[in-house]
Amino acid sequence: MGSLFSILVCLSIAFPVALLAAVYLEEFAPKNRFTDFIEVNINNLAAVPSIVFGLLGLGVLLAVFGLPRSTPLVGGITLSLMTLPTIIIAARASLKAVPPSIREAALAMGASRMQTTMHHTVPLALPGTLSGTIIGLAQALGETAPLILIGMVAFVNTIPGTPMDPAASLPVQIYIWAESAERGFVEKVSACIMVLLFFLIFMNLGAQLIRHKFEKKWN
Amino acid sequence: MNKIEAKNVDVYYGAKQALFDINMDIEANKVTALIGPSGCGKSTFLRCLNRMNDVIDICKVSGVVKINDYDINQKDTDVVRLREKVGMIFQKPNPFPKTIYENISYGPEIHGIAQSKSEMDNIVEESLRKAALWEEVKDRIHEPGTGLSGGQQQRLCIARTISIKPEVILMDEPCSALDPIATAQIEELIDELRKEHTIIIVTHSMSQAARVSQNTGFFHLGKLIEVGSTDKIFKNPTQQQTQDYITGRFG
Repeated sequence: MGSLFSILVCLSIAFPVALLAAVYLEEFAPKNRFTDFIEVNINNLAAVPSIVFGLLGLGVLLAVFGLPRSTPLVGGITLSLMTLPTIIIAARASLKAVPPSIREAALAMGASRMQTTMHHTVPLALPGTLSGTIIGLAQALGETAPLILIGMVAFVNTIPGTPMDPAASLPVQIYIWAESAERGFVEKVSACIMVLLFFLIFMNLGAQLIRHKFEKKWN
Repeated sequence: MNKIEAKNVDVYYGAKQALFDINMDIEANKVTALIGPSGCGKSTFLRCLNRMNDVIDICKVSGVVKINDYDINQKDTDVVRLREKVGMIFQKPNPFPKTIYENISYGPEIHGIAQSKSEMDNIVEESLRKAALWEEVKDRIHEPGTGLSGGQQQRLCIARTISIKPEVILMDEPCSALDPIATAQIEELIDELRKEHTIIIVTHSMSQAARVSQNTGFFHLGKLIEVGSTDKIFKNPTQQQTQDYITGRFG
């Protein structure tokens, strides 16, 4: 449940922000030094080790905003910061792949730039963006380091009812249990890993299906 | 009557000047062909007429282009309204990856032309009929437009353009990707469309210019060398360069 909530929070923050950022950068922003600078920064962010994002979450979200420790909300926000660049890069790539002739067709029909982007370019780029999102989320789901830093390490044996309740997440659970030397933990860790793997397979499968549906519709 | 008047039009791509001081009048309800060797600025000039050059960042246009006596190069010109009046057909057929119906209904939809579903159905049928495509696709208008043949796709694009009843239609080598039969169909269509629209067509084929147009302009290296009635340009050009191009001595 902890993982599920984190991922949901992560998705609902990262996806819209990343999509809008990508659309702005690709379709509207003028090409100048400033946007080049942003682009370099986004690429850099994608390569920053996850533990740094964890520190950021610890420093900003917990210390400055005073959000409750070990909650999926904070975990999700931290993970969304981490996945943001991955999704932006994927979304931009798929926006770039939309043939300019489609844009010209819409513009020549008297569509404004906004209409052209919203009616044609973005829908066409959506399958590619979705696959980028999946990659980003799958990465986030398996992420341990940032969650340890924001305190999602405590063994919490209750199931969280809202994203504001403390919770444990799967990869952190694996990390803790794998360190325990007592008997029986080997089995527990194995079970945990399998749950995580199933979760990932299920997610990728679902996303793949969505992608196929979209692709059929647009080709 | 002159539909379009271009005065002292210069176009730059970055530092490179693509058009030099173009002055040209275009008559209403006639087909005007623009001919000339590749890279001579025909398409660039065409794109000045509905401000499609705005899309290209480095492109700068100066001079006056008047359509219905209104200068379209002003800062506060509403390009959406302009492009509603001046439609464009491209070199490669570029239907939207949607159904045939949606391809045509898109224009009327964004401009709020149709009030009801039945009105929209009428517009779609009428546009397809005018583009001589209705008989071929009437049973599958809810199938993707990208599944049609090249010639059909180009006629779909024409139907899409005329669905919003533009006054002027710009065609940028509309037949260069098509076979002779599809080309003949489009040429026939152009002659039909001239009754209601003013048409400007860029073409590489001189025989096509001779077949479909009433007026012809000859471009060379970014300059408009000669313009006049098609008959005169082809039979009795005043400029040596035009003569050479028409008779196939260069280009």
